[in-house]
Amino acid sequence: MTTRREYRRAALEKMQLAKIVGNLTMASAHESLKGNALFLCQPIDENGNDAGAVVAAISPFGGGLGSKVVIVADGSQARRYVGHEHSPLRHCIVCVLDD
Amino acid sequence: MKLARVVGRVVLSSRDENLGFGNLVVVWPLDKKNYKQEGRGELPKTQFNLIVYDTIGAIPGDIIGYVDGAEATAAFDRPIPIDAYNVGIVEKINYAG
Repeated sequence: MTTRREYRRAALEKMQLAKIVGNLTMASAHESLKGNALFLCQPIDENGNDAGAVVAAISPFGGGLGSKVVIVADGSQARRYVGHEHSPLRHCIVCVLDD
Repeated sequence: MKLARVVGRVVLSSRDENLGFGNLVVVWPLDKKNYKQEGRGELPKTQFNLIVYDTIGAIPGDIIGYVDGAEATAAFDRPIPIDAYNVGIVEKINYAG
């Protein structure tokens, strides 16, 4: 259950450990999303329980269901990856952990 | 980008000229219980409603992905007084959390 405090705290963190819990298909979206897969990531803390609201992130590295990743909430990484300097994308997966 | 369901619309009688021609929709952020039911289901009481600037034409009942905070203005090359921007309308949520 995402409480308001948790929701606000998650918005502040820039880089977060997260777990891929699903994916997302968009009906009609901003043109910078064209052809990019969106993964649903659940931010987790170091011992694996939830730490924030689920976010949809784009992934230059793929990553399967349940794999641990690090997401960054600052938009510049996402914009550089899609190559569109006005893309409203924000969360981006920066690495896939293999433990 | 976070997910929310559109629950209403805002009709402005007068607007800041920087706001452009998008419309404002009232959204209710979803939580894990809603993700399990593809975004349907009873809306969480702990969440608060947001007003999202929308240029794609979301109607009440749609699930949208929005970015909030300063990132919302990243999609524009001019100053715009918004705090949340609608990135797209979601077609399908596959959630296995």
